[in-house]
Amino acid sequence: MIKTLTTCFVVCFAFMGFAQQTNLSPRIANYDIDVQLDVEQKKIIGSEQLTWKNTSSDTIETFPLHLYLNAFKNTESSFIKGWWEVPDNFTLQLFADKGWSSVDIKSIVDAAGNDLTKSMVYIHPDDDNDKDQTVASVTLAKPILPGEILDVNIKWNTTIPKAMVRSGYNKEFFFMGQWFPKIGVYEEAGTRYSEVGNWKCHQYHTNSEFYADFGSYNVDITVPKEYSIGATGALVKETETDSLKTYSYKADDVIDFAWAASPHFVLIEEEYKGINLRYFSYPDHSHMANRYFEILKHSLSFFEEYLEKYPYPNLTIIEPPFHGLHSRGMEYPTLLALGNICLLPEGVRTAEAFAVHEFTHQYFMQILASNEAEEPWLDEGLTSYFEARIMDQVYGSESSAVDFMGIQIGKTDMARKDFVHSSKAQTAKNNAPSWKYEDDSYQVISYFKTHTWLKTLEGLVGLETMDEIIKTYYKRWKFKHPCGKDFLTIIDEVVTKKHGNEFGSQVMNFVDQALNTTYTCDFKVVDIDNAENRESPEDYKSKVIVERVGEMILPVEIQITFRDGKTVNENWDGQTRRKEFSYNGKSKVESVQIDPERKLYIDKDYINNSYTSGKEENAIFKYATKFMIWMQNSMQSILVLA
Amino acid sequence: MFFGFNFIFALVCAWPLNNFLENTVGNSLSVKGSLENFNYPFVGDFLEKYGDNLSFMLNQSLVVSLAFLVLNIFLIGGVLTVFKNKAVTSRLTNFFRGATTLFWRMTRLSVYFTLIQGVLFAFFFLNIIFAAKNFSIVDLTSEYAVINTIKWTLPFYLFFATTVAMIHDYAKIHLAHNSRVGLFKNFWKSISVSIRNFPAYFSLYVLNIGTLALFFAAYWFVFSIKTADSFSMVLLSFVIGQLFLFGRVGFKLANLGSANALYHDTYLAQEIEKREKAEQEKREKELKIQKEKERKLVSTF
Ligand SMILES: [Zn+2]
Repeated sequence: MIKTLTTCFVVCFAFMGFAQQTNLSPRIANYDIDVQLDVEQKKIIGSEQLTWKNTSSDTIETFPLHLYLNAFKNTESSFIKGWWEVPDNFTLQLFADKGWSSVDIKSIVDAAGNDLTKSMVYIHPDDDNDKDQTVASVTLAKPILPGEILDVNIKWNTTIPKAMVRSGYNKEFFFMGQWFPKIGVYEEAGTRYSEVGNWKCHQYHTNSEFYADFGSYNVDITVPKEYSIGATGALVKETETDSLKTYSYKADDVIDFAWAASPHFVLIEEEYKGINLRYFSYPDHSHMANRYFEILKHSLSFFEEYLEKYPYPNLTIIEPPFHGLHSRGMEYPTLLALGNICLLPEGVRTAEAFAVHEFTHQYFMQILASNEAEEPWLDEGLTSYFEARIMDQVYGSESSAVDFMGIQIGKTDMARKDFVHSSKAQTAKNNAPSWKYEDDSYQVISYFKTHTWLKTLEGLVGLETMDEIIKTYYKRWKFKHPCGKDFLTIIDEVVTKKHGNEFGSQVMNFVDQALNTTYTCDFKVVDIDNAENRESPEDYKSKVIVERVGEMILPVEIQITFRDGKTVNENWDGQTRRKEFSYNGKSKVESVQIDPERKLYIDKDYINNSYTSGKEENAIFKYATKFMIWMQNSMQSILVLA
Repeated sequence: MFFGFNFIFALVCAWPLNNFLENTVGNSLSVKGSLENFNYPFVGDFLEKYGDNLSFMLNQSLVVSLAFLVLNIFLIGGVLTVFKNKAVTSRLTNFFRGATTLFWRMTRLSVYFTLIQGVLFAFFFLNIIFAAKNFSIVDLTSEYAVINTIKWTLPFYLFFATTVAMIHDYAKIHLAHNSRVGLFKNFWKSISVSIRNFPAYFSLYVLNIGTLALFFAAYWFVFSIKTADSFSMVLLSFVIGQLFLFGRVGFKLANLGSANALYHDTYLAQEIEKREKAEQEKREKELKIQKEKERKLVSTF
């Protein structure tokens, strides 16, 4: 009897343990959504049951809702005002032609039947724009105590905007991201940077995308029968009536849900390691499926080996047609919106890079659900860094971005150049929130600058240490909300453990400068001076002068090569502006190279990193003769006009 | 000579670049890294630092190229004159006389044909822009609208552009042969002659272009085998490049020469035949008149 009972207990515990294991995330914000797409009126009619778990130790009296598409309600929204991409009158004309979008909340009713609709007010937590209506706050009839569940039903209608950024329609293509009333994230004191308990529910800005709690989504989407739907999660059911069709999708442990609809979609599917890859495109883009599948398989394998197997059963790609390209290049949980020109040459790997980038976000943004609005560098920067690592691994680091007509460009070199030579490189600090960037500096800084300093960090600490940093970060923070501070703590911890306190603090000093300042990094060899020693004429007194031109202080290696082939390696902490190295010996100094292994990707000028007393005539001769032949040929070609 | 000028003019452009590179990046080891392959970081850093100087040099090269174009218009006049009078002993005098007398009209001819080519290209290009709805993401449904338009119009465009270029060649030859005729009369005449002998002229032209294309392909193939990464290899590739250019110039002259020959065989031959026929008729007429006179004279007696 006791034995049976014990067995029973064991089984029960095992089952509980198993049940706990199957939930990857805390599932705080859960949605059952029923939505109908009116393709004629460009409207959605929606109803959602939102259940939110109060996992904090605070009592909750109000809750905020994202009403993202109100960004396209008028020109007064923070989104339109902060938009740099399209000229203003163009935007206005587009709105004037196609009509504004709006989210109409019809009713908000709690489980007890209390109508909360009237308590809803618009708030603007990020700026002082009181015309912005992308966030609303609702006051509860009865406060939610710690451990209790908020359960409300929301009915709403949305007029879908003509697509300009991410969501919207054009012709018969609908892309629905940031589309349903979505609850914010409650941070109790001690969470991330919060000193007191508060809601984080950012307005919809041009550059801000995600910050949300994990949850389960059950979404029924009803569309005209000829329409297909690609969506987050797995398709569990299709029901058809005379003219309509309902697609039921389910996704667990995700922070968002997006979908796309069109009557012209062609679906191509493939299975890889138990993951169902689905590709939705218009017929003229169906040939791109192979390019995407191929690189996505590499990416899936890379992360499976590097961090952990992709934990979802599906991965859906939406490839917008040309007229849907406003919705391209977006990541949603288990759904990637790609979008490329259909005749893209194989050697121009933007298609692959897009796919790798958006897929990498499944880890950095979705599983490591940081606050992208506040700290875009933390997900975009890490994503850009891994995008390059995967692309480099597959195509080689010197041609991972482009290998076309004799021109080779590597992903990391490209990101470096896009940052260090950008006129926007100094316009904001790396850790600025997404809505504080002026014009297009957002991408330059949060993507490319972060990428470049992460690569420099990798150079400084070595690949092994770098990998341990990322792996620790993942292990500690998966399915949670990490912040920049947490990432830096791990860098400090791992580097100090592996390389000691002194190097650890040098590295942290570099990270601090990269993140919190707009300093540039530039080292330069000023001169080599080989003087004959008067006392013994066969000896030389040689002097090497190096300079730190940029403000950024970094430890740097210097390699000195003598005429007899001997080399000396020096380490310089870079604290002072100038440094001299002196040598006495039988051989002159032939050349000097700062950062010989090229670890400091953040250095804005590699050309001045080295100096050789003899001129590099061969290469110059090559460039000059190439140019000459090119000129001769061009001259011959214009003779067509003679 | 054509090749020599080409060489010198390009040298005028390349020499300053060589010096500029030596003075700016000559002492950097990173140049060495760019010897083997296209080196994006080097090129990027260089353009960032010295891009303005480089674009100034490129603009200078453009001016030099235009001067080269004008010089060639001059030279072609001479060459065609030489082609015309093969029997003349003093070729050089003949050449310069031809070049100077024809220069002004040859230049104008080039301007007109450039305009025609420009209009043709504008038609082709605007048609694509129109099909692409100005490449508007909002309006253009699919890239295939553009691709299909190009597929349809490109052969037509190439055909017409080639034909115009061919007529330009014959107009030059015609001008050289009829140096006293007005430019426009010449222009129309050459069009009518080209159209009358279209199959022959066009076939020859396409044959010449085809040969040149093959030559080009061979050149590319040679260069795709190995990139130059040492001084001797760079020198070798330079020499091959020069040989290719020499060949290219040769082809250009061969094209003109063969067109000139064909012109002789067709138009001129016809003209001569016509003239001979006319002369014969004239002679016959005179003979008749003579006979008549003789008869009259006899009858008077
Ligand atoms: Zn991204």
